[in-house]
Amino acid sequence: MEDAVAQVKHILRGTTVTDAQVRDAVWNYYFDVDRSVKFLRDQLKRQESKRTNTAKKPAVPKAFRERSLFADTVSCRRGTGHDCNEDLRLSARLSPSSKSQPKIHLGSSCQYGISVFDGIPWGLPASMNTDITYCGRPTRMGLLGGSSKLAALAKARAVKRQQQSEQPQEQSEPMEGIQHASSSTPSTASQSRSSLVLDTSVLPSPSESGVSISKRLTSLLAERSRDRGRTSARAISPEKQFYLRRTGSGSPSISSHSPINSDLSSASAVFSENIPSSFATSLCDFSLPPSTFPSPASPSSFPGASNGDVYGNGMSADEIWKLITNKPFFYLPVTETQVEEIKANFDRPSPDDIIKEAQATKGGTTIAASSKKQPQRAGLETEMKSLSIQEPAVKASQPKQKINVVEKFISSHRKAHVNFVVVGHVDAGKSTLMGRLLYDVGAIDERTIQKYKRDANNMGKGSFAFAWVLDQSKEERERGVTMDVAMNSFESSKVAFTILDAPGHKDFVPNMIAGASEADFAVLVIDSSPNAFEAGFVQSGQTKEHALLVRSLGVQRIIVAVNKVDNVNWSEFRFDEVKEILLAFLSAAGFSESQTTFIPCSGLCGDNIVNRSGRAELSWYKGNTLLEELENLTTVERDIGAPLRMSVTDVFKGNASSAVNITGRINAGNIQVGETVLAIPSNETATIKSITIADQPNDWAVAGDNVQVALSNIDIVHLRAGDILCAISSPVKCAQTFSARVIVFQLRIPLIKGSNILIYRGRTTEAARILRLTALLDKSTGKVTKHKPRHLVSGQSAIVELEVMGSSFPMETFKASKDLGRVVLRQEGITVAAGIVEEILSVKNETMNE
Amino acid sequence: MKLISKQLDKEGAGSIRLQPEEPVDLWHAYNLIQAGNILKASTFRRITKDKDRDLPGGGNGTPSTSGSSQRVQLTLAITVQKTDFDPTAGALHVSGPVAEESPHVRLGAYHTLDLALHRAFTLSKLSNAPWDSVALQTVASACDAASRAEVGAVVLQPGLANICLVTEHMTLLRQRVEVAIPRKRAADSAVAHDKAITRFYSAVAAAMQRHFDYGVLKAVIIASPGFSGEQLLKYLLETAAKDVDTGSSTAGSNKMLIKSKNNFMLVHCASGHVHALNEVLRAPEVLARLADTKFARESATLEKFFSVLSEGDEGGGVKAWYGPKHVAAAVDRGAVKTLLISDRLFRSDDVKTRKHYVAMVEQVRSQGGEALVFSSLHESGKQLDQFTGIAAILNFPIPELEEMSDDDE
Repeated sequence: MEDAVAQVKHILRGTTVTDAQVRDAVWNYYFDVDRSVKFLRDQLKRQESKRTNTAKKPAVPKAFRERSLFADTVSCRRGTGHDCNEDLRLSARLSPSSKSQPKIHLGSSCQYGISVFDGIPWGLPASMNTDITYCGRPTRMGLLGGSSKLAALAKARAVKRQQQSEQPQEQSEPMEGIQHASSSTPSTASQSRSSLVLDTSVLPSPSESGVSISKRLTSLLAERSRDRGRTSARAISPEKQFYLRRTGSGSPSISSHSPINSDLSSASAVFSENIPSSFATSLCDFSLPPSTFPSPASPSSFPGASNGDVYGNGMSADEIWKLITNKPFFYLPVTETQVEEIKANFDRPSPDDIIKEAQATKGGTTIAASSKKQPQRAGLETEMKSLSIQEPAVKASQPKQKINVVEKFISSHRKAHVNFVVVGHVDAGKSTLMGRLLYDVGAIDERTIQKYKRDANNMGKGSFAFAWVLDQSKEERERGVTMDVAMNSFESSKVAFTILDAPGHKDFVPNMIAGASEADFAVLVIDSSPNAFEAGFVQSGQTKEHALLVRSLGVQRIIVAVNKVDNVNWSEFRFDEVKEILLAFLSAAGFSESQTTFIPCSGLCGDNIVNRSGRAELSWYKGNTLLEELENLTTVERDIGAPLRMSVTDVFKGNASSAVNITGRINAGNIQVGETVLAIPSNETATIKSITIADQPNDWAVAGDNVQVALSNIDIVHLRAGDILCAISSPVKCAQTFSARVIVFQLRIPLIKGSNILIYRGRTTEAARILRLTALLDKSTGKVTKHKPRHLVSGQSAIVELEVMGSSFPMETFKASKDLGRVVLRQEGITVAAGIVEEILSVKNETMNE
Repeated sequence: MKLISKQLDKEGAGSIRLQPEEPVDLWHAYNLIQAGNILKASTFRRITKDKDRDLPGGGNGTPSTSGSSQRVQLTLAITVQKTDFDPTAGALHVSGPVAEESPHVRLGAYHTLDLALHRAFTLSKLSNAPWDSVALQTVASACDAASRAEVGAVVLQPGLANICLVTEHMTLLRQRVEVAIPRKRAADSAVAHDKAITRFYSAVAAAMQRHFDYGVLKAVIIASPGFSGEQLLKYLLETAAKDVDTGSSTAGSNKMLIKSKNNFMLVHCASGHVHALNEVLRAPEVLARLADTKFARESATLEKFFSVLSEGDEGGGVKAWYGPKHVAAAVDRGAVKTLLISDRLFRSDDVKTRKHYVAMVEQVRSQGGEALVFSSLHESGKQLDQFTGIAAILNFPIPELEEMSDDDE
């Protein structure tokens, strides 16, 4: 045996065959050296071809030449291919510098692809995975970048017009965006570049070393390019908010400036950041060696995005940014009033949009715009063999339905959507409060309520009538306990709300987690009756647990409804007492005081819910009612242009049709009717047949929406609550082992290596165990204080490695997705810890290989 | 297990002849048989009469094509090299080279003995790895018919149920039932939800029918968070009553179910996953009824360990430790009150390792402490295995342990 192995190895020296492989082969061929050598050679070849395949995959959308290649291939089949070629030519003509740039770009990306895949046996390390993940991006970028010739011309025209009309006004940021199209002349491009070079000097603050600068560039670029995804066409207003946000929370060099102020220096700081980031696009292309670029350890929040974009959409991103930054100092300090003005400006559809819309109705142009997307899709699909037949058929049948959701969303003036979860200790009156709210805003008609009242009285539970609006199942009504999250929606004059009424009973905390992970805000309901508040606030009560949970699930804004004040004679003293205790606790839990509001109310009587209380006893309260406070919530900015991520909360058969219905929340990206999506972990594709938001049919939906979707071309067995629907081009992975940064809650028994736990995220639950306690962290600084602790006790913060024992747990790192990167750990009915996913260490089923 | 004969010298070397009577006895046998022992049992072997050779063939892996072959029943003694136990199938395979002369098989040829119920086997241990106290205790407890208790347990949550059989030494997961249950929605007033719930209970009831013999089980535990358990029990009794009335094919077992109604126990637990069983088995109502059983004692002891561990420094120092190094140091200082040790550690192929742990158990007992050997087939034992398989609750804290490194993990 050993002889044979040695012989085979000798023959195959210089290849990457492992000892184990050789041994296997030799054994299988009964020590026949020749045959095993042949077998191994074949295997190698296969591996090689597989590898080149994947090497190609990330490279495909990136490399310039290959893109056009795809366009060509598809143009044989479709008549639209030439549009793409024209795009390419057009962009090549745009500027002399850009002409050379793509070439270098191509080189670097190829190099990158190869160097990364070198010497790696089949099995994708994290850096590469992200790479593949983002191959869908350029599609979008290209589309939005106005790379169609017609669109570009139209935009240029539109821009000129707008310029003329807006010129006299102050030069606000929108203008900057506008400039880019009009500047598509070779002469200005080089000029812009030189100004960029000048500007880099602004960026590096003295304290920063060279490395950190480049890292920061990367991260800036990454974030920028994300935003660019949805803004480049014209949506400057989110981007502008983004800038302003950055001033507050962004890089250390400017953190001293307050957000949104009229300070000139702050504004220029904003600008100085802005410029280098675009500069970084070219900088990264030219100067950074490819190998250093995708460093996974870099602090950039979206390493994947940076790779994908810098290399991926070389043309459109570079182009746009060169153009945008063409007149770098156009951006001037913006005062607060101006901000308002600008915002107002951009609440209206821009001339761009109007024209686009007009073109869309005429047909033609939108198809031209989307044609670019299709060839690429097709190109991808030939690689992902399984999809190649199905998808073009779908697309072909509904070509006109291709909607640019991002633009549509911006132009639609949809009412702000606010999702909030109602939490609190059992019997605090959550359901009743929400039932009352729905009734008072008119979402429930009088007759239904009367019927509930009658039935509830018959059951001897008269006070539960309002709760029955949400507690629909027989058991819940009989027992008078909410068991599962109820979802209801209503609209006020300003805002569309989605209520998620969570159960308060400790056995149903998993359901509460599911509800809370669909919400952006929380309403914490407190029973202010004597002793009831105290009972809920003890260690085992759910008031604390729920508050901690919603906080660790990402909710920052909380409204505390101090309920049942009728039971304490509308006492201000009691209200203040409750408020004081809670405020101390909530601020310790991480809710800032400005993000916390207290409202005394009564669900049963209806005071201070929709209508201000007229009672003399409650006249001491001068604040807002619950509804007013809810209307004041500002929606969370979400990445609607990113690849789709939608967590499924429920799966059920439709009543009339054969379609499978699902409900869920879109975490990132957007969906539209006719689109094909991928369900993880089953890895099956499905076509979206219809979309319903808050009981209203719609053609599309964006991140943050809670939707009901009818899917066709998929069997119901492939879907479960807790699954993730994602874009075909960037599937989510299922983690087997991962490391997480956790905060330990109140523990009954300490967590040690090997502890069995359950991990929760949304509707997904899996059994898991603690593989390793990696390090203890300082709670405030996050620095490692002790390596390999023997156990974790209450209140500690730590990095742990977890292994999923059950089937599959689709997950992303917290960096990649705020929603899909959070987990809650529970043990024997107690929430022991909550954390964020740091890194996915191994993947369960390598579905991506197919 | 039936003890047929026992011939041991004063060092503990010698042989014991045993006859397994129940599936759990194979588990005991698995724990007794170690590498290097000699196992003699009746078995079958295909014997090829090879013309070219004097000796009967076989044993080198490639049976020759010529000559005739026949299946022969014979008694073989092998030197154990490898044991393989499948708890769900109740099969124990032991393989190794033949150690005693036989007319059909030459010495040193490999053979695998399949130990089966009701077939006696003789296990000999040599003086280098004799019958030690732990092994003898295993034999004693295996042969103690009085300590036999079998409990059926169902842990469930809406949409997920695990149906298990718990015996003294084993927890066998018999079936896992999963039914997708749609969530309630305002639109169709939860009809689909209620329907799916009923479907789920009927699936669980059918599985219980298949796996539980209500006449034999000492108790049936139904555990769940919320009200699922209560509802399942209600459903079981209702359908059973209906069944008996109509006289369908399952009426017999349903009669048994109604008869053993008082054996049913409703327990609260946190989830429907199997490892919630650990929590179930130490619930006060279960302990009250099954206090004398090994599994309940194990669960309670493990719980005790954790609670001591979480007390932390309060008593002047940590009084609960785990990991071989720390526990060994504690044993040396005579500080151990209760030693928790998994039977996995005794199954080690390395004689020295086993001796080390046996000595530890004996030392603790001689010091007046308690040594509890956990079955690694129970949830509590599994959990213990997750953190090195050995742990101790101390009488008094030992500060030196804090300084010890834990590189042994």
